[in-house]
Amino acid sequence: MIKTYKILSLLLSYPQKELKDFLQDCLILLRQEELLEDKQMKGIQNFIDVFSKLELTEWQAHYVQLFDYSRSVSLHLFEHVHGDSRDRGQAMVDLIRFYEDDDLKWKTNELPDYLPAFLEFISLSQSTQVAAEILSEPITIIGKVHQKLQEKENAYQYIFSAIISLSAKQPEMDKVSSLTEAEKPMDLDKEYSEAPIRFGGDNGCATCH
Amino acid sequence: MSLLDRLIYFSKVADKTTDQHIVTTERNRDSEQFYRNRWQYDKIVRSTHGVNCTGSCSWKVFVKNGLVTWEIQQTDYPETRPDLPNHEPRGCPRGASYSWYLYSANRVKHPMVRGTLIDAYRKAKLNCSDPVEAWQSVMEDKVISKKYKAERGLGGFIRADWEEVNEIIAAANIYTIKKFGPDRIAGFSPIPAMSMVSYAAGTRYLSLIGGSVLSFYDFYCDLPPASPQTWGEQTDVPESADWYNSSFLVLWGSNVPVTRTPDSPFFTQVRYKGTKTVVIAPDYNDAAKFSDLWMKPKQGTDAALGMAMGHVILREFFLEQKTAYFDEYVRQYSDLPFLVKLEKHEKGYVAGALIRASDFADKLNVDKSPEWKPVLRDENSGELSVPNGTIGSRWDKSQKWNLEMKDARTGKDIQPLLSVYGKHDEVIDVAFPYFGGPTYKHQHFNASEHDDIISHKIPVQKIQTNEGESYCCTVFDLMVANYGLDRGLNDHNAAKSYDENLPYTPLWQEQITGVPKEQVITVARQFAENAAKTKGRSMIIIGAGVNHWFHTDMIYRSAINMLVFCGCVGQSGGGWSHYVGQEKLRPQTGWLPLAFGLDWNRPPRHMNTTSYFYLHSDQWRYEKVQLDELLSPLADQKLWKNLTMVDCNVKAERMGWLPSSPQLNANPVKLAEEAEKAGKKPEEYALEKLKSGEIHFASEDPDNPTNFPRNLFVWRSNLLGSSAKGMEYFMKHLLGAQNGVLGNDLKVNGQPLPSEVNWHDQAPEGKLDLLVTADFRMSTTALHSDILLPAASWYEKNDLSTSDMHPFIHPFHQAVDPVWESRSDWDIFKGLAKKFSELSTGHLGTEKDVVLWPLQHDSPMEMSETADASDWKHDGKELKPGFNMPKIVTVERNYPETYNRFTSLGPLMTSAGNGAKGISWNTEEEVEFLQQLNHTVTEETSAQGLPQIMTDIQAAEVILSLAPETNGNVAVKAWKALEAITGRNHHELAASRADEKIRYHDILAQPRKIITSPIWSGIDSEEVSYNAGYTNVHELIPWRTLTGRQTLYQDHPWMLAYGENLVCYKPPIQTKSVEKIYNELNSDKDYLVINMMTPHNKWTIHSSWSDNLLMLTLGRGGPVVWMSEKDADKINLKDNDWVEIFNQNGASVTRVIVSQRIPEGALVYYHNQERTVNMPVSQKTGNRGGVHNSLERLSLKPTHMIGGYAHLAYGFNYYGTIGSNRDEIVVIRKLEKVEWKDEEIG
Repeated sequence: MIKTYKILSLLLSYPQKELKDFLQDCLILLRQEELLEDKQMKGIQNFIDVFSKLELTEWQAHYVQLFDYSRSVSLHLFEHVHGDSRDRGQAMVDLIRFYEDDDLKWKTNELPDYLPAFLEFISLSQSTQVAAEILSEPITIIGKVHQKLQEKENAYQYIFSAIISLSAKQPEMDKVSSLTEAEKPMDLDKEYSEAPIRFGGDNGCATCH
Repeated sequence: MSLLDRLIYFSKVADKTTDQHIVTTERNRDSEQFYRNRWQYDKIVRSTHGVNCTGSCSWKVFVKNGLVTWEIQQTDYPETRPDLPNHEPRGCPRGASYSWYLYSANRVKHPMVRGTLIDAYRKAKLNCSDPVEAWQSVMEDKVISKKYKAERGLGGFIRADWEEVNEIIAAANIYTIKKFGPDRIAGFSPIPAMSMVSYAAGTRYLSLIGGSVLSFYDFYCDLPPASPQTWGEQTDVPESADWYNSSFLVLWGSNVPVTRTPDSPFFTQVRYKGTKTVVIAPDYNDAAKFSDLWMKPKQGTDAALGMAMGHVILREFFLEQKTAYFDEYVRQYSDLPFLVKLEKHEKGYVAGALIRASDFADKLNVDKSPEWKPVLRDENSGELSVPNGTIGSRWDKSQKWNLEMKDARTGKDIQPLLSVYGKHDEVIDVAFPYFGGPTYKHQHFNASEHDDIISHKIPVQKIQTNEGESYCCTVFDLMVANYGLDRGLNDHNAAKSYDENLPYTPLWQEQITGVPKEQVITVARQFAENAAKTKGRSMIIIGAGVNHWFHTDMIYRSAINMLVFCGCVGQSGGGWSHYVGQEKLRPQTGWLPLAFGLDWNRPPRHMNTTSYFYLHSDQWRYEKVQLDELLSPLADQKLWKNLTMVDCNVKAERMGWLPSSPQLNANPVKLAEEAEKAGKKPEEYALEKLKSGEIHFASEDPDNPTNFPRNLFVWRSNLLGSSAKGMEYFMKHLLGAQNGVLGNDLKVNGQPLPSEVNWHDQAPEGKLDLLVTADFRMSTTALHSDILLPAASWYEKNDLSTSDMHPFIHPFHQAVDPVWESRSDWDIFKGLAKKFSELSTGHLGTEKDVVLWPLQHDSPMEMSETADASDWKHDGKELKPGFNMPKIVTVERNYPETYNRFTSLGPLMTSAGNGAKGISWNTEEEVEFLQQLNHTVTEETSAQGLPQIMTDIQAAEVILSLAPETNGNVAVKAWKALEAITGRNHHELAASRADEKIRYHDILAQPRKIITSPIWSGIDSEEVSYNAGYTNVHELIPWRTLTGRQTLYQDHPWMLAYGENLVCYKPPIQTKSVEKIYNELNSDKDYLVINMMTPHNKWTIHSSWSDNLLMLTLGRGGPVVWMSEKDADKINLKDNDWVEIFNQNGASVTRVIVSQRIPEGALVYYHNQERTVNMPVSQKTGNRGGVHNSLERLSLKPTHMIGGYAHLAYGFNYYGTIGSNRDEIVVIRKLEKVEWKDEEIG
């Protein structure tokens, strides 16, 4: 198992007491595996500093408010590309099949596109190269969430920045901005006003009287 | 083929068949993967949507790899008979987009608790390991209590595990039972028919522990009180297929294409058979498009229109010429021939009560219940007659409770005399109240210039009663006079032509409704003509547009009169089709024991919710409507002088008319304990204490902490976001949360305070200790809960569904396991019962509980001793439980056994049997069957040997096995039970299906048609479609009313006091919600004061789907109101502007749609748009805008509190106060500043 991925998966999961107790060990394990650069390690240190100081319930309430109720940083990856469209169902079906092609059985009641689940899957890869390749597939989406967390100045950004540093490809910034753009509170009035339909064009019918 | 064209070394891959039609190629077909995969699935599951839309439509749910991928309509309903279209396909765009919810971000995925509360609880547990003690210490900490209550609705949820949330809830329940009493725990869940097992799960738990189950149908204002008033039935209506049998259809305040989408084909199709369709609606709605004639009365004035149509029918089909069919029908099936006493009054005479056998010295030789046997005159003999079928004969074991035209004493044939006219002794002046004149005028509605009291000439006969010589006439005689029809008696207030401006002529109604008189005359005439020719195939489909008014009874009764006059009720293709939130629970009798724990304890605690929330959200403290505004000008004003609405409600509770919750100002468990200590029976002890005044009804002091509701469960419902009329008062007083109440209370306003209710200057805020909601989506209620439980959605659980719209019983079926941590409602409450049982040990054992049970309809208590409306507390009468006050029953509860009882079918089913609606039967065979089917409990508990109910499917089997509608053997038994009362043969109706047992797995294969049962008044057969009243007319089974006939005359003293003994026109009430607001308005900003209507939305069902993005894209993406171009112009509004709407009740914000479709003077604010999507901040309150309910406040109508009086007697969801919501007036203005304040957290 590639521990770094597994640890990142844990850090993004819903915080429980077990995780809180584990925070300090994370750093040691991450250092041992040496996949993350110093800069990323510092970030993770920051993250740990912030959350280990909080009461567990405060951290939990923060997590719920941040990830469950803020669409822009949803941990369900397809939320960002498929939103509420019907394609999302098929995308999830395909993703489970992808997991199962690797002889893994999906056992929880989470959805397959939940980022911590995806990271756990990657942690089981044969090599870091393979892992980096798989991770690169949705990296633009991850990049988008990262950017939003940076804007919010939220400590979870460091986890995302660490994840991105592991990927074989970097997020395509133009796509990131188009994803972010699509999410901006639309100017509803503009969106709503369609051009009125005119039958037979604006010129009317030349032969009708 | 030339050499050049011919291939020598290759051949084309494509081969053609000899007929050249098919080409075979080996081309790569990967491109097709896209759509082939798109429609892949592993299995198809039949399920439906439990959403109070009355659809109960069959859907195929497609599942791939354990995920629901999409749904489409099923098309395999059992076929109808030849010449009748089939029921399929049923469904609508809302149902088709349901699976969106399963995986949406809005899904409640985990049990959630407010952080502040759980921190406090966990901390408390460090000190005392016992959860009940821990909860107690949290409750006793005033600072913490106030803090977590104030945070309701403001986030701060954390995930918790099931174990812990169950522990907290169970501890809270146990603490509440010990400290305050089990009736301080209540549960609200609506419309069981839309998922009856899920409903039953919660109510079973509550009933086992002694909690209050709150009603819904009356609170939603979907109950038309006119139905129990007329027929003694909550609501029974034709299925939609019967529209196809009609030849004249009126749609009145009902918008079938929008609200009954899956049924609307029957309406559109029948037009091709030549059926005439008339739509009555103030706005040009979707149904109007399909009609031959659109009549558009001013909203809320429909009774005036109905009265005028009744006027035309009576003149042309009863007075000018006799219509044989109508004449026979009303003599046999209505109370029109019954005799009414005319009483002396300072204004001459007034109509009084029906004459009964008890009015005569010899009681007309009636031994049993002469006061409940009304009298008519036999036309043949000229003698007074006590006919078969009156309520007295229902309970006297004479087997004369039927509609045979016979005298109940002699058995001789009778011909009821319809009118005394021509046989009258005198003609006298009788005064009638009139509410359409200047005194009662509402500033937003027109009135006529007539006096409040109108005198009519009535032909009367003299009779000798106990009071000496009295005058009497028939109901028909009063009716004719009331409709203002001339009979040649020199009555100046009666019209000789339609063109006189006298109530209630077609001309008269023009000034009130705006409808041209010609339309009224034509429609009434054709309606009746059609009914006369077809024996009643004229139908009125009627709905919320007219039912949601305070004076709905007047509108409904004006329409019902038309139907009864024309012999339409009980006839195929005719009758009264009220489709408002009804969703008939067809296997009701099978479900009752499961839902209310009747297999273990009887009676349960039922509560009428309108009164409950009127009291507990303190809306009574803000009441502006006074009784003298509602009373008849002929009423004895003295009797009502010191009373307010809430006083009437308290009196009604004391007299046993209405239920109470909490019941007494004492803990009923402690009361029983004290009684035992004193060596007395608890019920006797409680009675003594009530007599002595040591204890009293809780509602006499609702703001005393002793009487607060403490724990509230909400499931299958969005109580706060969708149903809470007076939402801001709920927020303020019940929850203690952020709110937008803008008005002042009675005392501050200088209004009279109630005389029966104790007043506290400081109103409590945050009465509820614990609000628990189970839901699958993050609704407004969910957001305000202390504990939120993730519920399985409609594709994740097993359940049953039925509807009034079609005769099939339909399953919910688990297509996928409950997602994330969600659980089915059955499992949620089962888990809670388990925890409760564990934790109760040491706190609660086997306890006695003193339960009050109001005077029930369909029981002998409906013939109570309160017919004179005397309240024992003031009139010095002896307290007689079950006669002039609620019955007092001691119920024994074994608290540690709650789980074992929850999961087994208790012994009362064998020892006490089952039944409903006044009949009961032995059910031993069914219990034995269930022992085999569900297996028995093997553990050594109090449930050992009883049938198990561990799973939702087993619960469904209990319902199906015990109900006559789904078990032919039970149906035959039930009909035989009825035969013992009517003395007639009925069981043949079900005999052909006696062997049939519909089981859960049968309906998974195909929806099944239910079996004909005496619980309902229609039959399910191959010859006719289901239609209400059919067995009354064709099997001569009486209606469950005072006379046993359709009741067009309401003779209860309170009905007389409010001038509703006969139907009349009443304008909307003055809610006075904007008066004080005027002063605060900035005069240089435009605003408009307008009446608000609250119809249903095309793309939602109540609040469901109003947060579904697929459906939101079809509208404006969030809440809207509609208004006319003219009104919009007045205040410079453009289409799509943001507006703010407010009055003293609260404020809300929406966009405005400006449309020609809407009449001037009406604001259409959809019921119900969730405030969680696209809702800016109100500039008026500074808080997020509310919903239409924020602008409402409940007002109670005293006539809805009447009880213990035959058909006017309490039954759960049957009769009681209603939550009307269309009389409200609001201020609308442009929202200057659109602020969101909903940034995601950093």
